[in-house]
Amino acid sequence: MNDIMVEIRNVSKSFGKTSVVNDLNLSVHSGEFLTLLGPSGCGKTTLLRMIAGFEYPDKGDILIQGKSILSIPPNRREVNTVFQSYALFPHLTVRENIAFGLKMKKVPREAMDRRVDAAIELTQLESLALRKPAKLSGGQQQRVAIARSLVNEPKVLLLDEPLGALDLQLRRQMQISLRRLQRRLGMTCVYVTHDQEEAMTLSDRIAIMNAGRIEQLGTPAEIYGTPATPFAARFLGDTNFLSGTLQRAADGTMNRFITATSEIPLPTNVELLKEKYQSLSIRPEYISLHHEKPTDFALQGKIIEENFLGLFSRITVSLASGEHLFVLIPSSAKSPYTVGDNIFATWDPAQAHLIGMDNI
Amino acid sequence: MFSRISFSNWILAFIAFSVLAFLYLPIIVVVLYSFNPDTVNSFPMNGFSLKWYQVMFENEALIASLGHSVAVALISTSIATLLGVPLAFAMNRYAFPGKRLLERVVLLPLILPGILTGIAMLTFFQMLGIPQSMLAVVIGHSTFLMAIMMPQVYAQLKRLDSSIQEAALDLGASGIQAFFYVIFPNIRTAIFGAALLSFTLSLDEIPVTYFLNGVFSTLPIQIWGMTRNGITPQVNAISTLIFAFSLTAILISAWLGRKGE
Repeated sequence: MNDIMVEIRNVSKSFGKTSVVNDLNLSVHSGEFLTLLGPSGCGKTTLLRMIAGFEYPDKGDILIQGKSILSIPPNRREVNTVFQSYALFPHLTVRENIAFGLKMKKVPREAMDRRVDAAIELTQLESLALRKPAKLSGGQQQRVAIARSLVNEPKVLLLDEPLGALDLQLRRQMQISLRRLQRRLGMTCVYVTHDQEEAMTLSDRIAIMNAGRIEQLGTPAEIYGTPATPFAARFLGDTNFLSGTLQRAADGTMNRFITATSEIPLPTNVELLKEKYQSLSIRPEYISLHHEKPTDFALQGKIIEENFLGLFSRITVSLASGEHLFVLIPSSAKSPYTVGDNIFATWDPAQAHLIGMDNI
Repeated sequence: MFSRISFSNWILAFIAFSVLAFLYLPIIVVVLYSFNPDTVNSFPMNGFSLKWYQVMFENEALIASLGHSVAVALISTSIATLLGVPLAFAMNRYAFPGKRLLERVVLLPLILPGILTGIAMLTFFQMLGIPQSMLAVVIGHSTFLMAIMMPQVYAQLKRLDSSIQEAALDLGASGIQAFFYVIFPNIRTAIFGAALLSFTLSLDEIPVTYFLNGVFSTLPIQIWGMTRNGITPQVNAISTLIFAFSLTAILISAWLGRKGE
C-alpha cells in the first residue's frame, strides 16, 4: 500500500490561453482508490486524460512505478480507461468488446478465452455475452466497459465519471460493486467525479480539485472533518461559515474567535493559522439549538425557515450579525421548533474548524 | 366518426395512387413497349416478344457505350470513395476555420445545374489542356459523386460516439488498427450505400457528360443520339434494363442506409 504507483510531478496543461492544470503534484499508492473530485472545468478529466495519454502535459512529468510514461503512446501504456460514454464498440458483441484489448496484444487464443471468461464472470455478464451493446441497458453497458478494461490487468484503471449517466439507485448499486471489485483485485484506481457522495463512498483518498490545482488531499473523513480551504469545506458536504478574527489567548488557555456580535471559544489544540482573517467552518449537523440560554457560549438568533428532508430537518437561523446558520436536526413527527422562535445555537468547540481566508 | 376516417383515407389513397401513377406510368409504358413485337409503338400490342432485346444486343455502338458507362461509373465511384471518405474523416475529426462553409461547398456540384458544371469544366479543362475524353468525363463525374459520398459518410461518423476511437487506442490498437477494426466496420454500410447510389447516378448522367465526352460516348448519350430520329423499340429495351438495374441498386442502397442507422 505504501509503494507509489502513479506520480504526477509539477504538471501543467493549457488549452490555448486557458490554463487547465496548474503545476500539480500527486502520488497515487499501489492498490489505492483515489478520486479526483471537483466542479466541471477544474481540470480533473484533463489530468486523467494525461495519464491515459490522450493529452500531453505542457510541463512536468508523469511516472508509473518510477518510470516516466510521457514518451509512451496511449496504446502502449499499461493503463486502461473507462469512458464516461462507455465507448463500447457497437458492431461487436459483449464478448468481442471485452476480448478487444487482448486481441490487440496478440494474447494466445487459449489464455485470451480464459481471461475473457473470468472478466465476464467477475462482472456477471454471462447471459449477455453474445449481445450487441445496443441491446443492453445503461448499467449493463457500464459493466461491459469495466470488464473490457479489467481484462487487460492494467497497472492503473482510470475511470472518467463512469456512473454519471445512470439513475441514482443504480449508481449506488454500481458504486458498491465497483468498490468490492477494486478491493478484491487490489487494483489501483483513479476515479473522476463531481459527485461528493460518490467520492466519499468509493475512495481511499479524495483529491479536491479547483481551478487546475489540488485544494486538499486526504481520506474522506479527514477532508470532511478538517477541510483545509473554504472550497474544500463547501465541496465535500455542507457547512456554515462565520467570518471574524482570531484572538490568541494571552495565558494560553483558550483561543477565541471574534465575530461582529459574539466571541466563540476555540479548542486549545487547534492549529492556529497565520492569516489574521479567518473563517470558522461548522457543519450543520454539529450545531444544537436551545430555547433557553445554555451555560456555555451560544449565538442568539431567530428561526426563519424549517425544511423537512426525510432523515433530517434543516433549520435556518438568522443570527444577530445578519449571517445565516443552517442546522440539521434529526427529524421527528412533531418538531420542537417553529418559525419565528428565538433560539440559541451552540456546539462543541472541538467540532468547528478555522480556515484561512487568504486563498479565496 | 368511423365512416369519416374511412372517407378521408379513401381520398388520401386516391391522391397517393395518382401521384405514383403520374411518376411511374410513363416508365411502365416503356417497359411494356419493350416487349412489343411491332416497330411502331401502339396500343394494344400485338403479342409479346424479346425481339428488340436481341436487336439491342446486336447494336455494337450501343453495347460499346454501355461498356464505357460502366467503366466511367466504376472509376468515378472509386475516386469519389477514395477522396470522400478521408475528407469526411477530416471534417469529423478536426475543427478548422471555414468548416461550415466547406460542408456546404462540397454539396454544390449536386445542387448546381449540370449544364453550368458542364460548361465550367469544359472551359477549365481546356485551360489545363485536358481534351474532351473519357478522362474529362471521369473527373467531371467524380466531383459530383463526392457530393454524395462525403455527406453520407460524414453523417454516419457524426452519429458514432467519438470516444470509440480513443477507446480502441486505450485498449492497445494502433491508429491504423483502430480504423480497420473499429471505425470502418461502423461506416462501411454508409460507404457501400453511397457507392451504389453514386454508381447509378454516374450511369445515367447526361448534362456534364455531354460537354466533356467529345467522341467518347456513354450509354445515355448514345440513347439520346438514337432518339433524335424518333424512339426506336430497342431504346425501350435498353431503358427497361437500366430501370431494372437502377431500381435494384437504389433499393439496396436505401436498405443499407436504414440498416446503418
